[in-house]
Amino acid sequence: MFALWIAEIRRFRWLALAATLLLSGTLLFVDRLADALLQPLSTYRLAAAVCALLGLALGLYQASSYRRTSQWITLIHRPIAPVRILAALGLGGGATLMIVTILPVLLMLSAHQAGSGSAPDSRHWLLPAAAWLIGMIGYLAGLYLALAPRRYGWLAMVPAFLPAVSGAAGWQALAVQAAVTLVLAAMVATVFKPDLDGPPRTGVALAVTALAVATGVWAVGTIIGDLAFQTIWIATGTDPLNGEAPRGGIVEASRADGQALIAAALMPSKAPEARLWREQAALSEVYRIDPLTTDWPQHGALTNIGAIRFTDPDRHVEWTFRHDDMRFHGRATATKRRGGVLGLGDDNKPLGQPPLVIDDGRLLMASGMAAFDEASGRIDPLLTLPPTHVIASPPVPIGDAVALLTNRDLRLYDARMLEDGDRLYPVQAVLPLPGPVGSLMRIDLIELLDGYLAVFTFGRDINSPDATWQAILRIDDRHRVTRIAERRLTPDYPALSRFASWWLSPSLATVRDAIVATSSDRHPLTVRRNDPPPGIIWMLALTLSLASAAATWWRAQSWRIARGRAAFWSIATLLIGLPMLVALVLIRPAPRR
Amino acid sequence: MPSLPDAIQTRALTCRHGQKLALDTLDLILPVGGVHAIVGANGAGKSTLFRILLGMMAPTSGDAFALGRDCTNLTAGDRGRIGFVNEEHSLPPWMTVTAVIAMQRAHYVARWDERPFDAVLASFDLLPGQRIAQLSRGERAGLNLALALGQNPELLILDEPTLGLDVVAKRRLLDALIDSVASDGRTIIYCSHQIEEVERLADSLIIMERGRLRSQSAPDAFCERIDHWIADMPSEGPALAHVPGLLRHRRIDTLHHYTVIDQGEAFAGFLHAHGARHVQRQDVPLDRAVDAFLTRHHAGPQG
Amino acid sequence: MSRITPLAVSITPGDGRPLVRQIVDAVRMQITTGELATGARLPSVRGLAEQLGINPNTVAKAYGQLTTEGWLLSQPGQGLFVAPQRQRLDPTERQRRFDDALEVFVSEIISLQYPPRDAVQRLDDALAALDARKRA
Repeated sequence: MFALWIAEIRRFRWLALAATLLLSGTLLFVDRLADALLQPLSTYRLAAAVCALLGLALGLYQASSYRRTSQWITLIHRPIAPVRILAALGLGGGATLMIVTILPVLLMLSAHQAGSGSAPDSRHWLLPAAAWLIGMIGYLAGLYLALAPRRYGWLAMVPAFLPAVSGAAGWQALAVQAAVTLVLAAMVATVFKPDLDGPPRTGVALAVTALAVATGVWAVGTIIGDLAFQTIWIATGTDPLNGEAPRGGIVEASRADGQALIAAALMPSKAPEARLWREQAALSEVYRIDPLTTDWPQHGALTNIGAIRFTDPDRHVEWTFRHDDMRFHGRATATKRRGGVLGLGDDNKPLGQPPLVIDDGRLLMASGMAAFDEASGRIDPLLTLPPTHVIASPPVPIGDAVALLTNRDLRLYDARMLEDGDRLYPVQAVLPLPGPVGSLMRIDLIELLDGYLAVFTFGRDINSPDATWQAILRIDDRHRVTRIAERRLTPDYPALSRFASWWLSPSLATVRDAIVATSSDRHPLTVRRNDPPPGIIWMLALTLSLASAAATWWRAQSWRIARGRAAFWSIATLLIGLPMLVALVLIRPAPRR
Repeated sequence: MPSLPDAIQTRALTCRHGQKLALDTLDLILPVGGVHAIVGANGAGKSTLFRILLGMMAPTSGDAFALGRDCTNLTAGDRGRIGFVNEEHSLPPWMTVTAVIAMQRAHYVARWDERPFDAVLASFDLLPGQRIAQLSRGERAGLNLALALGQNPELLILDEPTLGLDVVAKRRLLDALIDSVASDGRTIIYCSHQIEEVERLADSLIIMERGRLRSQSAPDAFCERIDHWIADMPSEGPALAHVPGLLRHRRIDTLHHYTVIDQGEAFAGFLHAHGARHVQRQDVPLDRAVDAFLTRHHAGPQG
Repeated sequence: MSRITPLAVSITPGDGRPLVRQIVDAVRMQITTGELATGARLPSVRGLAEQLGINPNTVAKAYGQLTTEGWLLSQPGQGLFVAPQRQRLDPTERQRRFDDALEVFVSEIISLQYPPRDAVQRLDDALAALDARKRA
């Protein structure tokens, strides 16, 4: 096995050298132009894609060279167990990838450490590991795609995209990537057997493969079904997005200008002032508040959501935020010399969370705001929210007040709070959110003679189980909040489309929702409220599961699969639904012998 | 005393690819020792059989055993005892000759036999630093065979190893194989379309056709079963369907040529009974015998 | 140990006769013509197999047949030697075999339409030549 491993490394040595030189050169060059450690998330995603593609290319290339029958026989027919042969190949490819992905990033970080560009945080030193793990995911996927039977190999790799959507950050992101790598390695092991074209042999291998393929079928089926449905709907000309939006629907609400929206929202109200307000809405300015759709940066995250640097023009210092001590570190713009630490207030206290730098020197954080005072050269806290609150939108000026949306309420302050802080100008009025901020699409607000009127529209994701409705709240000059009206908006998309991922496989959709729910305490801006699936969808899901389970049983019998295994397949299909039946047909397990 | 397991044993071995039946309830027993030649037209199922024996393919039904071990579950130790050489002589093209030899030595270190390895390699002029991709087909074949013999296998399977080789390389390969035949207890299975090679090498001849075993005997025993009769018959002669043991019939000028199997001298009587004036019997060489046997169902020029 | 006598036989794979028979016929011919003298030592099984490029088992079979028929004599540990030749067939058998060979000869040349006298003359010459080789 050792001999084979060394042979594989030697096989790729020139390729590795060329790729490492090319990547190092490119990365260092790009870093010179624009500081790599300050790039936004999209740039890091691009870099991750490059790593994954490199790994994928390597895996496909290596495995394809052995795939032909005569080469496969030469590889496998030796006195070494197949799993050890695979280990030799995998370690060879993995070692090659390690050099190609880790070395360029290390060089870049070392250059930063030595003085050019921003100083790297300890979180940045995790980047080489992330680059390698992402490359390994691509590599193992490449091996699997080249070796597994074509009809289901690509589907089984769909769950490998999990890290891209998991929302984990920092160490946890690495843990997710490592877990996916291990699972992929196990899947490659299930397919790496002498009988290459046959189905997985052991029960465990079969189960893992079936689950992966079923998940792939579910994900791809949902996407393709959605595309097909939308295309047909657009073709027939009646879909709400391209044509006329139906009245009282969520699409109409998403497009309406403020005045029309408020007028429509006030329709069902029986309050005596409703008519008056409608007239006022037609005349006054309507203020619009949209919640943030991105997430707050997490401490220790490998990437940056937004800008983390600002410049002090008078003293010619640029300040860059570092997660290590949660303070800003300065660097002279002229001489590039490093020095100086800037925190909150006089004693330079560390900031509570990583900030986003927005224009005119203000810092936005999850639990508050701070501002850089050019005169004093200090960062002073501007606004501090209670610990349960998280800012959900930058402050919006409303006349001579300013509105700040949090995950629990809409807070109104005197506009001078933005200059002098909330110690001097504490919160004047609080409108509790009638629903979760993750479902909030927009807030439209008008000033009344005595107070404010705000319309909250919920249903951010249009073609999804998101509940679609509106609520009107009024706050008077004595800061009392009353609920004026509430109405449901029609979802505009049929339940069949909105709940597509649910009825196709209720259990997989529930698992996905549970995973999202467990991460919601770290991501308070993503909390949503979904409509429960309507009764007819329940019926459809149940019928589909039963029919699929019956079809699975019948098919397993016609293929003469052993009784016990056929029972397992049927139960699995009952639990997971139609995707598992498709997985059975594609995998085609071996008959009993 | 327990008897040794056979070199190869298959029981009702069937392999189906979609509609096509590559192997059809094949029952084959090849005893240990000697050279067994397997002959058959393309599509007879030979390659499929070897793939199943090496565990690279699972049969649709039936069992296959190599050296007494179940072919679908060969262990690393089992594989060490079986050698395989195929027509493509696939070796990793990016490796050097020395590297390939070193790896093979490392794998089979316990059983390695330097003598036949050196003997074969000596007749091929290979430079150590050459890459496999730079070798000609004949040189690759020589290296491949040397590696297979150095491995000192109990069972050596060769699937058309001389295909595409020039005359010189072919000669060397066969000489090297003949040298290794005398080793005790080693079984060689040799698959080829070249009947001349088969005649030189084989102790037993196995003929496969459409996934089934059609004949298994020593080559000369097979030849003895087949005779070529030339008869001077009036007009058309007997209807072909009534000719016993007929493999092939041709009419050249006015004479009828019958190639028949398992008929012996009695066929002369048959011919005379149908009005032949002069009959003549000829021995049939092995290549014609095999050819006639394999094409007996073909409609040929009946003229 | 006596020296091995070179054995100049060759085999033709495409010939109608099996390889064993070709070897047996060739050795018998050489012994009959005297090229292989009585007591001469034949090449080993492996040696002849290597010389001819065929399976040693085939050579072993041929040697075995020749030994059984009495043409060769095996001395354990020393090798295979040409046995002293004597007439081994009884007269009836000899006659029968001669008649068979004659019939084959006649049928082979029948189409050549040689005048019988010329055919006999040619036969006479051939046998005389064989005799001459034997004495040489």
